[in-house]
Amino acid sequence: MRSTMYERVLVVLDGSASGERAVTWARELTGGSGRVVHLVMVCPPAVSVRNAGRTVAFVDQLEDAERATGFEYLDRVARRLREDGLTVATEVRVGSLIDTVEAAARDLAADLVVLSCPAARGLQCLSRAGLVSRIVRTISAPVLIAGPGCLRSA
Amino acid sequence: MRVGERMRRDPVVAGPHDPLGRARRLLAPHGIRDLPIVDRSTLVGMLSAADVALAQPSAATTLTFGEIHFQLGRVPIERVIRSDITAVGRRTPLAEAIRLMRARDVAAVPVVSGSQLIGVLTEEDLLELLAKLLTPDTSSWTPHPRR
Amino acid sequence: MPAVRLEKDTMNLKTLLKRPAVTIEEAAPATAARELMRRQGVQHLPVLRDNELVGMVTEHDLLAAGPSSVPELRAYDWDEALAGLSVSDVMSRRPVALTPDTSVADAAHLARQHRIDAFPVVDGGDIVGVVTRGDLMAVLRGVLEHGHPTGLGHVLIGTSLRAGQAGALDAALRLAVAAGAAVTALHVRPLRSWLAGVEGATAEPVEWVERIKRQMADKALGAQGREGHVPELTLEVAEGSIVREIARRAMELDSDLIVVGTAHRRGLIGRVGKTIADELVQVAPCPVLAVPRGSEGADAGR
Repeated sequence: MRSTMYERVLVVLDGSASGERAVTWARELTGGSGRVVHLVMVCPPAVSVRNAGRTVAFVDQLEDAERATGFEYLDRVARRLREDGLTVATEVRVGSLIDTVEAAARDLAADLVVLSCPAARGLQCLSRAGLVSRIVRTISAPVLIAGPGCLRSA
Repeated sequence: MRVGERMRRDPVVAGPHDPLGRARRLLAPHGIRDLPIVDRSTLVGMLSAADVALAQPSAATTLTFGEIHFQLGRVPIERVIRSDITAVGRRTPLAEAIRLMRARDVAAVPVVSGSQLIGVLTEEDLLELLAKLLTPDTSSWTPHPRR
Repeated sequence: MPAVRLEKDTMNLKTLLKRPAVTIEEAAPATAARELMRRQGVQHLPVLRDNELVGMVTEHDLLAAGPSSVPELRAYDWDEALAGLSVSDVMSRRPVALTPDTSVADAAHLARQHRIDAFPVVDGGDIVGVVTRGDLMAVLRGVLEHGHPTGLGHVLIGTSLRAGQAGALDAALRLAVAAGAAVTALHVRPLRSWLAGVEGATAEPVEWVERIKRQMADKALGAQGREGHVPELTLEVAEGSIVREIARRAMELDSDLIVVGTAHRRGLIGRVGKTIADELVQVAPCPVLAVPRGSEGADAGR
């Protein structure tokens, strides 16, 4: 029987398959129907594209495009979860990873935050190293992280 | 039923710096379609027969067969493999492993302990299990206990 | 996924045929096959000539016929020449066709023995569908999916001399109870040479063990009332770097989950603000659940 501990789970995704490990682990810990899973994809803030002194693409245009792609991706992931009877909400947020996750967890009153920290690529995982303590301190919810040494998806 | 009960231990593997020719030689005769790529027993990727097929030039190429063979043989595996890995553990429920395999459209999934490769779960073995479970005279059908 | 009603004797391919067959002509161009597969969301097409089944063409066949994915080999390919290929150039001939009343067991057996990916299903003279390995895997999944077991068999709790671990203990026990998993609580003491100056260092491990045993017994009793299952509990003590010891033990025990509190690390230069959880995530062989202090009704300072 699956764990019935956590009711409102926030899963943070970045669009990669290794990022999706978070989803399978979230399923392991939430159990079946009735649980609410929020899939949030975090996109870094866009920077306007300039060419020869003229702005060619504006920040809001770029961010809208990112949001659209993000939503498509999240919908695909959400569909699989809904087939298993989970209630799934999706959202794309733009901003720095730490601030966005903190804000999302607060807004959604999450009782568990799940994310995947894949193979250390230079600074990428190092910068996440402070993430755990920061999130836990701020939102007082447990955080589950699948790190680079843990290749299992479930 | 869990992955550990149906996986193959001691799978055939290759290294990331091995040439593709070596992978081809390992894949074809053994009838294996997926090759775990390990760096000192740490899993770094999976190479499928499809990945090797993708690397082949088309039938329209101007290379001779010998040239193709030679060129392809030299390409290191790490240039061709998918590094976005989907892996399972010994204790992963078999149903969950199958769901993952279908979602990622792969015919085999590596089994790891941490980041170390300990086995491989293949579609071939799963087909064998299905045939066995559905054949009345050779299997006894009881609902599985909770663990 | 909806439950599959399994009638072993009568489970045949008819139950798997969900949609009419999508087929292609032998003389059609290879690019048309690719387009058809994409549009219909399939990867296998029965090939017909004069309404007769003559072969199967798969996505794999098309990929192998396409240009190389390796750049130095690609330079020699002529993309235009590819368009000159027809389905008959890439398909496989003499496909194994099955009938709707072929049993799923036989289909699985054949698929394995002859290394077949997909079977065209023929009824009378007509192709009524295609059954793929994917369809067979879906059946297996339905057969296996009883009671949704989890992948949690062993949970490791890592603790140190710092207070505030009760939340972690509580979380781990409740997870273990729900999953039917075993729990090991590992207490890591700093090496003796570091003991000077660390608060609470003079407390004997024995005291700690007694304290934890009491807590666990209380919680286990509470848990039993709810689920009827008492998790198997083991207490261990180790010495050394807490992160290294926890990671090592998790590897040895093949743990599926590590649970830690988020007390701060102290006494080591440059580590201000980071916790054990942060460092553990980098090296742990399984996911890490970091539980904040004061959660799950824990008593501070116990």
